[in-house]
Amino acid sequence: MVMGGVSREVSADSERAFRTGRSGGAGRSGRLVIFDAGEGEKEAFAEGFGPCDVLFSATPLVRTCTGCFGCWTRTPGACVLRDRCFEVPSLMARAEELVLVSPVAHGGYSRNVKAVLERSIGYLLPFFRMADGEMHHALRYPGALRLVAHFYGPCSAADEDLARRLVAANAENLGASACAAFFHEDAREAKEALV
Amino acid sequence: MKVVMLCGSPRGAKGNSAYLLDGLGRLLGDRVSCETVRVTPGPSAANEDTAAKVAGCDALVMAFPLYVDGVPAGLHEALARIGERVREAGTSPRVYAVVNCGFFEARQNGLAIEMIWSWCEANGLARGRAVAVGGGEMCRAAPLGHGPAKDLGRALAQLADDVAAGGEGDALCAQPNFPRILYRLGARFLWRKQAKANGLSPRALKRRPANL
Repeated sequence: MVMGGVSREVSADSERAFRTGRSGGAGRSGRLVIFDAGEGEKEAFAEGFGPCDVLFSATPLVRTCTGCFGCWTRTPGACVLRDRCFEVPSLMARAEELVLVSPVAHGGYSRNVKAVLERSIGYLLPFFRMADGEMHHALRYPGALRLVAHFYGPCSAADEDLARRLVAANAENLGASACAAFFHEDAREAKEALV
Repeated sequence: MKVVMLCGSPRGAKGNSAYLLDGLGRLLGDRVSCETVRVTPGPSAANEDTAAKVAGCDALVMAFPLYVDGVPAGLHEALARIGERVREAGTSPRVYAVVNCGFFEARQNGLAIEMIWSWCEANGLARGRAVAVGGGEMCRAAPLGHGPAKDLGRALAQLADDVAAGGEGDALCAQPNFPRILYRLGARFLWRKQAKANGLSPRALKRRPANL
């Protein structure tokens, strides 16, 4: 039994890695933007994005993951719940960059964005791979994503640090080539960074 | 001493979180008065009821699985309600957490534990201790405190002592007393077996619906 802290370390400066990281290849192009701009703000946020961007609104809330593992062992690569979210793993497989826009909630994503991510683990295989001495899920698709998170809303320094380490951990689990986390006052400012 | 045990797994009574809470309950014995509740992913009378109970208890013990490096979305609603009720009541129950993941390394639960402490701080709840559990279903491979569940049993016994005494401390990591390579191979075997039970070949598990 190991006693003591269990905090994770960020492997590298995430923003520098973002600028130098290589992604894409294997039929990937464009950005998939999963966003929670707040209830009722979906249309306004979606305006002005280019033809290379695929937008997925995390509002209204999608059905939450039931932990059934069906996306691994019944309909591999897609969630068994057939709502608008079931195609997200395929959208991730075609994208060069995955962009998450979310209010920051206790150093993590909002419930809405988190629900979409949990419904998307079919992007990975159930099997394990080893990376830097840690177990992660093996990759279903060739090529690699860049992961970029745009958080917004009030946030303490400790929560900002936690959110940065979360994005780095997500990137590692997704086999991403690079990652970055940015923090904004509000959803409008987050959008300005994207269009 | 009133303790509320909150099972935060969408798999409910079938999940590892319920199993771990059950084990902890037995370790606590009659030292405390314990009530186990489950969360619902959306707003519900059950979540309101849970929040009221937590606002009036001495200790909250929550168990949940690690989902995408964090707290499951299905638990967010209940945590929000609990936070509100505790702030209204002006109480400060002490929070304990048992977080389990399918990865072997218990430390991969670390970020989710930090998120729980951040939630505690924002709502005025007191920080107790967390146990990070690695190795997924291996927690059930033997009785707690024995074989592959030896360290897990020790960590939960320590947690039970803390809950009963209102104590606090650093997170404890418990992973299977079992070789990691064998765990990895065993998982591979079990996924293939599961696929077969669902009428799929092992190869079909690697399907790419995105046509890449």
